[in-house]
Amino acid sequence: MQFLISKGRCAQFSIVPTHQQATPCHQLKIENSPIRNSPDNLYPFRELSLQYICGMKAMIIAVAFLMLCTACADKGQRVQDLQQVVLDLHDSSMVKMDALYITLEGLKPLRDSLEMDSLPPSPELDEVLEAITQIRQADDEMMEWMANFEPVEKEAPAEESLAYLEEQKKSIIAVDEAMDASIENGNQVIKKYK
Amino acid sequence: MTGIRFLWVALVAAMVGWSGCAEPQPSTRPPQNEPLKVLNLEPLPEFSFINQDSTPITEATVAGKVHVVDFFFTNCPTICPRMKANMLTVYEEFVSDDRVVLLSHAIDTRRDTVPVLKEYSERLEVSAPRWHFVTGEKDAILGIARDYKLAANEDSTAPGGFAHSGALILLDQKRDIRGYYSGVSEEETAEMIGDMKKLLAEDGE
Repeated sequence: MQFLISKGRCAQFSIVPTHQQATPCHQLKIENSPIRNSPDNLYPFRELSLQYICGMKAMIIAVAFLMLCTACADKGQRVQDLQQVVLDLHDSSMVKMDALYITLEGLKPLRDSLEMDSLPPSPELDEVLEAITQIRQADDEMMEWMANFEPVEKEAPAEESLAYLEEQKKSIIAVDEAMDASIENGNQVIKKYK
Repeated sequence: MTGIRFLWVALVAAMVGWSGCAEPQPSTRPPQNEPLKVLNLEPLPEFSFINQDSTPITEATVAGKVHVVDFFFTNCPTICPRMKANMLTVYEEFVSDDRVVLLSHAIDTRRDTVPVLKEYSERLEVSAPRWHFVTGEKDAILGIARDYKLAANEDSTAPGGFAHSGALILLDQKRDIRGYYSGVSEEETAEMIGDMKKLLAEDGE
C-alpha cells in the first residue's frame, strides 16, 4: 500500500492512500518535502519515523492533557454535586424546625402544670423536662452546624473539599436524626401525659 | 431531509402554539387593582425585642408604619442570603421613606447576639431605624413567629412553616397582615414593593 505524506511538519501531517498496491515502508513518498527527490532512499523512511514519533508524542500529550482537564472538571463537578447534597439535606432538616418548635410548645404547658402539681419533683416532670432538653439540644446542634459550615471555595483543592463535605454530610445526617428522635420522643411524652 | 426539517418546524410551532393557548395558572393573590385584604382574624400580640443598636423595639416602633417582617439566621447557608438580597431591594426602594420599617427577627438567639447583628447590618450597609435586626428570648421570637403564621386566615397565602419558611410578611399601619410573599422570589418581592406603595397611598387618601 502506498501513501503520500501531504505535509512534513510534526503534528500536522496526514496520510493519504494513493493506490492499493503493497509497497515496502522505505519506498513511501513524502510530498512537498525538500528531501522528496533525494537520491538517498533510506532518508524518507527515517524522516517519516521521526515525524510519526513526533506526531504521536504530541497526540499523547494532547490526550493526556485532555484527560487531565476532564478529570479536573469531573472532580470539580463532584465537589459541587456533593455540596448541593449537603445543602439539600440541611434544607430538608430545616423544614422540621417547625415540628420541633411545635412539640416544644406542646411540652411547656405540661411542664408548667406538673411543676405546680408535684412537690417534690416527680418522675413525670423529669420525663417532660428531659424531652424539652432533648429538643433544645437538637435545635442547638442545627444552629451549631449552620454556624460551623463553610461553603467550599471553587479554588480549594478538590480532594480536601470532598473530604470536608463528606464529613459535613455525616454531621448533618446526625443532626437530622437527633431532630427526628427528639420530635418523636416529645410527641410520645405529650400523648402520655396530656 | 426537507421532510424531516418540515416535521421539526411543525412540531416546534405546535408546541409554541399549545403553550400560548394553555390555560394560565390561577393566581393566589388578588388582582393588582384590588385593595389588599386584612388576613389576620385577631389583633397581633405586643412584643419587646432589642435591635442591632441595643435599642428596644416594640409594637410602638412599627405603629403607623407599613412594615415587613421576616425570620432568619445569620449563619443560614441556603435561603437566608437570598432572602436578605431581596430584603435589600426593599430597603433600597424605601430607604428615605420614614413611613416604612423592616423588621428581621434572628431565630438563633444564642449566636445572633446584638454585636453579631450589628456586624451583619454593617456588612449589608443598612441601618436602623429603616431596618431593625432584632433578638430576644428564643421562646419570645418563636412565639411571635407562630403568631404571625397562626394569625392568618385559612384562605390566605401564608407559607407552610413559620421558622424557616423564607416568608416576608407585609403589615399595614394598624399592624394588620396584608400579604405573605416568598422572600426567595424576586418576582414576589417586586410584587410586595408594589403592595407596600398601595398601602402607603391608602394612608395618604
